Amino acid sequence: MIVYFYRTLRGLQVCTLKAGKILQIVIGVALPLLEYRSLLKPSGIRYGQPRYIGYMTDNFQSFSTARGMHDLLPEDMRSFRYIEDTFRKISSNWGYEELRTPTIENYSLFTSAGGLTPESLTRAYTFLDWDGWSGERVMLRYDSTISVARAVTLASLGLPARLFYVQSAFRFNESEDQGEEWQCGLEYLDAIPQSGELEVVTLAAELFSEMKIPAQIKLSHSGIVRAIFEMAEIDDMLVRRNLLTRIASEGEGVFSELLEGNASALALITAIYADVNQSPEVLANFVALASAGLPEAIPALTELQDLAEILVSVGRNVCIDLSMQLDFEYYDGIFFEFIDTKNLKSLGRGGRYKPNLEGGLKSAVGFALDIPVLLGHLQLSRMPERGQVNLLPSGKEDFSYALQIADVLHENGVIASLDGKNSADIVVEIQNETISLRRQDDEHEEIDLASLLKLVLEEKGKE
Amino acid sequence: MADQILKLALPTGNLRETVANLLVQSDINVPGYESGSRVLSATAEETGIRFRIFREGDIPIQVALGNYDIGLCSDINLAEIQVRFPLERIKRIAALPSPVTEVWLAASPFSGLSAGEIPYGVDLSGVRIASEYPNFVDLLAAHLQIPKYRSIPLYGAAEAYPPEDADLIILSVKNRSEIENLDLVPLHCLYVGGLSLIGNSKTFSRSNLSSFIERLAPKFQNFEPRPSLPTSTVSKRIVMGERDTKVLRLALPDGHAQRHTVAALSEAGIAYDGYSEDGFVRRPNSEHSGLEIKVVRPQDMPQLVADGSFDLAITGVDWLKEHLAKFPSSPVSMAVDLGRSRYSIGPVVHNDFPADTTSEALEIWSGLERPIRIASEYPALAEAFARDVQLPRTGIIPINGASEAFVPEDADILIEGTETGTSLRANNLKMLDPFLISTNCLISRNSPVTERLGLQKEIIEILNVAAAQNSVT
Repeated sequence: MIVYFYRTLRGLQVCTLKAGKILQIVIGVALPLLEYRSLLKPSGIRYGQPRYIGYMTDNFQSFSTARGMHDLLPEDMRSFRYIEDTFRKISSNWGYEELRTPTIENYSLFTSAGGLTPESLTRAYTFLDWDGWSGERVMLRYDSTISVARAVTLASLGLPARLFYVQSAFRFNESEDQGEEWQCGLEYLDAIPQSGELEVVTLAAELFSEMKIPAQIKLSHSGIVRAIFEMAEIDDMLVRRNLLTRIASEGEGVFSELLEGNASALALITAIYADVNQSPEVLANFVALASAGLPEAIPALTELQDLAEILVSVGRNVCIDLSMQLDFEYYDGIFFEFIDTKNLKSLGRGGRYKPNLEGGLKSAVGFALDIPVLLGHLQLSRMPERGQVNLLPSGKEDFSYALQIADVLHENGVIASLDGKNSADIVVEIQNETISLRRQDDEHEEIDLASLLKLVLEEKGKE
Repeated sequence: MADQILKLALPTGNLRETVANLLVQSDINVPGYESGSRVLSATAEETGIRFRIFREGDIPIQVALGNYDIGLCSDINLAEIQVRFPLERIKRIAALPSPVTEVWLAASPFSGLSAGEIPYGVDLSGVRIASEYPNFVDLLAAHLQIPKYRSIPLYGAAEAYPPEDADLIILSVKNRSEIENLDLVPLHCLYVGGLSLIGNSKTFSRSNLSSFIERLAPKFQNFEPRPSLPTSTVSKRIVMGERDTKVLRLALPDGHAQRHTVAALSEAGIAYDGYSEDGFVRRPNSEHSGLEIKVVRPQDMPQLVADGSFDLAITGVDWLKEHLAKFPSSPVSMAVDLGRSRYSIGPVVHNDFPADTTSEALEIWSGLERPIRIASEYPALAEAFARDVQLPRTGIIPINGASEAFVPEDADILIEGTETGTSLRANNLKMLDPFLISTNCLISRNSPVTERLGLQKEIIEILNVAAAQNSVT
């Protein structure tokens, strides 16, 4: 079967054909078959090559989104707005203010050390813009954190600064399914040690509580691996990166090479890798093991211990996983991940990092939600549509009064539209300045404007 | 004739002889591909093979697009594409016997670096890296986390760039000693590769290609290309070159444009020691003190003048327009039309295409309701053409040459230049309405970088007078 697309005066039309007969009109109205054939004829007959006839099979790219891009349809947007509104509310409660950074940034912003990892850079959408002759390239925003730090430095905003954003990031994905990723994230720039991490973790925990998602806080610290590198006198960044890649793929065995003969330090590593979900109590044991074999790790472990204790004391569900493989090159202290305790999916992550930009900005704590996971979670529970009123004027002389009614309803926060959705909760007919309510049994009930408003607000209250 | 036609993409250029011999030895009959033949495509009915000749760099793209089932190309050209576009649309089936080529990172002899010394991060900040392999440049820069590096993508002659115009280069050579012979410092071998048989992943998994593969199989080599990124670095700041503004810098073209340039210069009474019709050295000498000359590819010149590396360059109007179509705000313009090497550029179609003018063709293209594929060595001009004639939907296929092979199977239109039309006619092609007459020309930067403005003006005037006399005669 072949799918034909062609343009007529009535607009774009699509139909499927087999053996020259129209089987199905997918969109619009098909032309009579002869007329339709004549549209295809000129190039087909004269040129005589199938490829010039002008049909496409399977995939007509005008209708598809660009690779990796997705529409957020009304149902997705209801869930997305719910996440966004909740995120805005909780972030604002903690004194964070919203900013938005440009979609296109200079490529060099992201290439500097501490910007993006090499792996990340190979997945960025980069191109030469109109000024490309100068050799300067630009890229679609890969991640918001670096852009936010850049904006704060450029505008010389006062520090510390608490900022949040809701914007998309663009990343090439080998599976081609996800090129644009929406981010709800925040950055606490120049965050005060300890209280910075505590504030951001608590904010995120509140967020999940508000959305009624059972979440566990998984804590880790980049200082343990750094301490091992320092003890083994590994300063070269490329050697460090290579080792981290090996640790990610081969596991803790790689540490044996670095800590050869240091039984206490190796015991600490074994204890760390024994379980990915350990109680905060285990940190005391880690400190004891580190004091004998890896004293450089003690400040990191103590910092983690202090944070975990406070979080537990306010009733948060906390676990320790020092084997957690986040981006060690990027994080510079405590980092954390929120896990949905029902399905064990990651809901969001963050931690302390070095912005590594020129200027006074030395350290920050950030956090970002995993929007696709949350969207999936919320869509399972189906976000309800908001109640609507459908106003049906009987004739053109009734439109004026219908608009007045719409105005009153809108002022009271009610969604109302003319000749709107048939599925609207309340359908109102207007004729000669008389309002009648159409009931489900198709019977009509006359009603005045005040009573209509009361009824609608009662319905709205049920949401 | 075989039931199913196998579409085979074969390389032109340096690899042609190696591949042609390999096919003969494997009893694969591809008449017309033999060394010295000018055939660009043919079908061998008895073996069921339809082959087409491409520049090496175009073969992986054509195979990835699915236009060709199988191709033979160098590993390096495949790697250059795959490091940027890692989607697995191409399957490397096996290695074939061929000389091994290495891709090296090399430094200017004035960089302060010794062999094998690679700085990291801020120690390379602002470094200029020139290469025919720009995707390798980005990969390396990301790996070394270089802030604010400048990639200089080139058509060729990378070895000519250090120290004045690049601090590091990535180039392909036979071996390390070739780098040393070029007076460059070898830092790291990034890739070792040979010749490979490649296939479209989808076709390979769904179609029976065994009759072709079986014949080549006895030649398969136990060789894997070896990519290698640096694993250790030194804490040392690279010494970078700076543009000397006390001299006037002139770029002269190599290749086909050389003959016309020598003629234009000699007509103006100018001769440079080391630059003639028969040959050139990369840095010819001039009697003018304060004039520095370098021979590079004409395609690269508008970019080099725009970024201030050179003050003047002799290139073609085609390359200037291509550059300006891509970057309309570029500060480069034509200083003198030298009037030689004249040819027309326009849309080229197959002779059977039922139109003789662009407007007739436009009616047909607009009615096809599918993307019109335009192949060109001038992708920005191709895009400008599509925009100007308001083609509703187009796909631009940037190519490296051997363009006559593309129409009609792999492209609907070529944006191509022709001097007499002989080559087009020989390939059963025709040009519709040309939209650009290209000649060779002297280009300059709108806001000069050099302090030798008097000398610049003098050269422009001399060439201007000579060009005017030439156009009268």
